[in-house]
Amino acid sequence: MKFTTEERWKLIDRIARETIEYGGEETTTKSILAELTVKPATGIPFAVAILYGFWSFFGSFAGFFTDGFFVRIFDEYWLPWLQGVFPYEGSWLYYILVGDPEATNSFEAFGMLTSGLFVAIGIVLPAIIAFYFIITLLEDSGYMPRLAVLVDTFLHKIGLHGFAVVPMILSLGCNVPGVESTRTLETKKQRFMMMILLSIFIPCGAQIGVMLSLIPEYTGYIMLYLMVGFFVFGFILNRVIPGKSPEIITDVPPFRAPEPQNVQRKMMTKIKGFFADAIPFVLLGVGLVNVLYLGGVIDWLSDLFAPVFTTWFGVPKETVIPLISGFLRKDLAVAQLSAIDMTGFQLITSVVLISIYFPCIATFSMIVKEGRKSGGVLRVLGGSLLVLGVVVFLWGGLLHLLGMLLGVA
Amino acid sequence: MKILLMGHPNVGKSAVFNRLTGANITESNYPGTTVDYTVGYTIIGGQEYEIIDVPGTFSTEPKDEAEQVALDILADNEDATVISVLDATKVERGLYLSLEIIEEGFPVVIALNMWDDAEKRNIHIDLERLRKVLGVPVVPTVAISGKGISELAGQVPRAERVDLKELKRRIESL
Amino acid sequence: MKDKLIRLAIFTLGLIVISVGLMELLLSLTGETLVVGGVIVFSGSFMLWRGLVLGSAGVFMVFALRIQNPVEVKAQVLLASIMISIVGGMEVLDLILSSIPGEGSRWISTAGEFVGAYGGPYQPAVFLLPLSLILVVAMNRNMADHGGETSHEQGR
Repeated sequence: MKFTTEERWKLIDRIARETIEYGGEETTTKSILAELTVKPATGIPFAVAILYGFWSFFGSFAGFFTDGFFVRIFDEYWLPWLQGVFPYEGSWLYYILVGDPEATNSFEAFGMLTSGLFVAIGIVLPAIIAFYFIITLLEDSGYMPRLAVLVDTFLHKIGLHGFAVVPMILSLGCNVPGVESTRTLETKKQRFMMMILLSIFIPCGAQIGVMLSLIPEYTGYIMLYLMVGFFVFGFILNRVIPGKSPEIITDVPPFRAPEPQNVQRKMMTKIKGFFADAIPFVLLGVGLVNVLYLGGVIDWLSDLFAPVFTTWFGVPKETVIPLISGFLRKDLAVAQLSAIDMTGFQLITSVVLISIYFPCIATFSMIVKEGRKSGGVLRVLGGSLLVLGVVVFLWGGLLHLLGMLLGVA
Repeated sequence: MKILLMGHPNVGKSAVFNRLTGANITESNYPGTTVDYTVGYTIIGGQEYEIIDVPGTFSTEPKDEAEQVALDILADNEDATVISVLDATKVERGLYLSLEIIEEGFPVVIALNMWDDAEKRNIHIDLERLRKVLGVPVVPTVAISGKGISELAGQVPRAERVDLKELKRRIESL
Repeated sequence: MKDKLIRLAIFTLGLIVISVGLMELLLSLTGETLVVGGVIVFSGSFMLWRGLVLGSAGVFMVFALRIQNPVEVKAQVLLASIMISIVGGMEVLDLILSSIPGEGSRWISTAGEFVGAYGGPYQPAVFLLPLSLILVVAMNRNMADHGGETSHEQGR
């Protein structure tokens, strides 16, 4: 025997009436404050304040470790020491592991043990710690669902609802958990859209960290262009892709003070997981690019793609190299780009290209894994690649066009 | 012996799990973090139990993948005891799922989590009456601070299947 | 009486915060740096954002006075002061973090450098931070939740 839905609700009503008594909630400063954070007039400026705090903390914290200590450790001690003791100067092994013997900073040496280690530990690690700290605070204080309610209206325009902000924000740390969390969305359409928009338009924390430390003056423009792209293509995809985008109704939990122990435990798990993935990928990336370079593959690819790059996107043909390493690590690719001689606008364009052209391999494998549950790997991958191709050409080309119109390209 | 932890998203289920097992897993309060289910072990009264943190679900009619996973786990563990975790400030909503699980024939223990929030909001719940009418143990908990968790664990061996006809009769004669 | 004083304080601080916000917005558009009296400096990246945050925080404070229910006034002033504290707090954090690493070959800055780093001039939010915190504390102590009477009872 089982009850029908109606019967069940009737029974529950009865139980509740007899056993639960609602004393009526007092309006307290706290409960009104909580309301103010979701009302647009007060909530949006407050969200801006939170985001400002986020970036500001990110900048100070990462700057403290990267510029204050790591740059010096790597440039003044590690690099000269390694260049001094490493044998076989001029051999291919030296080239792959240490890189340029004349380099005076760990950034331009471009060996696995020089630039590779520096990017992974010196730049990415502080950025990721800062990021996860803030995210954990936002989650545990209960602010995240409020942000979701606040942005609900905007996201409706592109067929998503407020809670899609969770994968978006997670992606700002790393696209992999971002893509993974799309499974909380309701329909295949929403999951597919979010997965592809995330992996194309949202740069990860590692990449943002590198951008902020190398090209802080352009980071704002790059982010803006990517965010506009997110909404423009979200709007288009919502029209093009068949399927439904249902609304969900969820409660906003009350604000709570985050528990220090919980924050610490969550951060440790996230950082550990991230780091186990990051270091090998960065090192392998540098190694692979060096091998390809030695084998002449990169020069060949540069020549092959040179016409597209110089005419359509208006960037130097050397940009091909970072694009290749971008498949392994986007942060690394941005680092490589900044070493290439080009104008400011070309740098902006090429960083945008790095962000949108193809997800990094870790994100890519997660898309394959999640794709299985969201309408089949082939459909998801095929769809993604199609969208990707269109986006790269249109959005990258459009930026070049904008530059020409403004007279800076 | 197995224990399944079930409840809506955002009722602090993962926190209850953490408290019961002491395992190092992460707990979040935005929807969906518990999509991958987690398993831990604990000993209650000398007996070892395997505890599964089942993904949050609203009812036994699945609306998305996470809910489907939840149902699959339920179906795979017919001999398990279920700890049904409710948000003490929204008992009615949570009871729907508890009732469904009771109907499936599982012995159930109900945890009224976030009891401190209910107190703050002046919500008074007659625990004794609730226990009697449902015929299952009902334990108030505050998983974040660990309050009520050992009592919750202690009630697990006492949970029994509920006769539905009797249940209906009891409720209607309230 | 106390209520009136607190309201006056909210209004005054609100106006100050608005003017700081407007100043930052203006300067971020012209790209200039401004030093006032040798102790306050308007400069740095993200100034546009600071201006937006402070400007709206100030507006929230001033407009809070038009609300009837005292609890709502308190909540809105609290919201504004959280926003001010975020901006000010981040400035202080940046000040502390950048005072630690040393110059040249020294890892940690010397006592002199360390103290020197705190010599100012400071961003305006550094001054607004303690002011807004004092205001909130004073407000919670002296402003009644309901009606005009002052009550020290919180909750039940």
